Amino acid sequence: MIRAGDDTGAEEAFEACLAGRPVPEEAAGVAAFAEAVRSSASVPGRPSAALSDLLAHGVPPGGPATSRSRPRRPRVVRGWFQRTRAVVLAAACAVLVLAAFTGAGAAGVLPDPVQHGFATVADTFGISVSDPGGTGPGTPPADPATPTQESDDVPTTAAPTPVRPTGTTPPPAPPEAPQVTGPPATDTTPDAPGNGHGNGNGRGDGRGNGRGNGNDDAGGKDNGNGHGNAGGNADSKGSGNG
Amino acid sequence: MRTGPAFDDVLAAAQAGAAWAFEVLYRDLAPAVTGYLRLHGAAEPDDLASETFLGVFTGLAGFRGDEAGLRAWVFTIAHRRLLDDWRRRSRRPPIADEPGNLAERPGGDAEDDALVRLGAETVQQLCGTLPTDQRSVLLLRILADLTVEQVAGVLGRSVPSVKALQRRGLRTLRERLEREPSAEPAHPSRTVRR
Repeated sequence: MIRAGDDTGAEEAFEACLAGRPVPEEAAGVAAFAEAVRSSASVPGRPSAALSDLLAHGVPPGGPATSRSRPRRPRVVRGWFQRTRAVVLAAACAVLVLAAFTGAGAAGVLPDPVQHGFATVADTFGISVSDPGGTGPGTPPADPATPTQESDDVPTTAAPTPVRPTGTTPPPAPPEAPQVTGPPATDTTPDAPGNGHGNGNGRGDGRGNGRGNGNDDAGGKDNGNGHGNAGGNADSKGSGNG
Repeated sequence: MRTGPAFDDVLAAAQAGAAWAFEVLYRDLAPAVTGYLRLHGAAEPDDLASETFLGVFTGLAGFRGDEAGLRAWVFTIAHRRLLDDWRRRSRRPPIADEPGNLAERPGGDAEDDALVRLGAETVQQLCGTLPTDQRSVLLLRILADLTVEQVAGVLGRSVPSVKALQRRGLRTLRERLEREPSAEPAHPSRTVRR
């Protein structure tokens, strides 16, 4: 019968057995078991072919046979990274140069011939930039009838100070000028205020833009104000509120 | 068997890939590793031991430690190979029902009787009566000569857990041996260490 107190003695005997010390008689079975286990494991197993090869030849200085091809891979990868890095650097430099050139062109600080070419190219994209041989920034498309055309005939020596007759650049349109107006106030009755507020923001949906038309017939009470929006389609709701 | 004072030289040579150093380490460790795998019921203990040493030798360049550390590391790899083998076979190692009639073994001198009675087959049967964890602890302590702390590292358990497993394993063994009184050697102190 195994008692609880025997466990401690068995453990001590087991440790003594492992350490090669004499073992108490009551723990002889465990000690014999340990010795038999050791005796049963005294012969190495038969090595496999791969292990036999390793035991016979070792590992060559370059590494095992399975990894002989490995040194090449880093070289290939490294070369690929080097090439890629060169391409990326070149692309980055090109982008930087292009950005600087564009910025300088937009600021109008390029040499005049270059600036002129830049402005020409930019103009094809609908971007207006300073053009020493042109009409300057913000110039609307040239009107054939304007003297700007004449300035093209000016010799290039005059290019830095282009002869630009007054009025080359049309004065900006007065802000109150209706771009799309409703019926002119003159169509209203004389006592109509007719303030012509047409603000040109017509939504083009044909709604609520018949006001101006209605005023025509209304005899001008008050608001013949030409609210007609840009899309002033009186045909939708042209009843007006006159 | 121990490599001894020359261990550092052997280890350095093995890490450099020298065949003779592999041979020294293999002769030192392979019997215990193969016995550990066999007593755990591995189907092909030789093949598993070969896989273990292939892993050891190919990974030896990264090892840092002394001889005891190397033994613990080798048995850690062997134990993992064993677990892989069990998973491949999708079953636990075969467990023997009974250790057999130990009294039927031939007898004579008490010292020889104990060793003969507890022969290889009997030892395997006795190991089969132990639960796997208890068997692992006892075999690692006996065959690999590892400390409780090292066994805990190999099995991935805590030290108190390993101590408890060892205690229960020893109790199971004693109960089994008491059930077969004739298995007890007459003079164990003379028997266990020759």
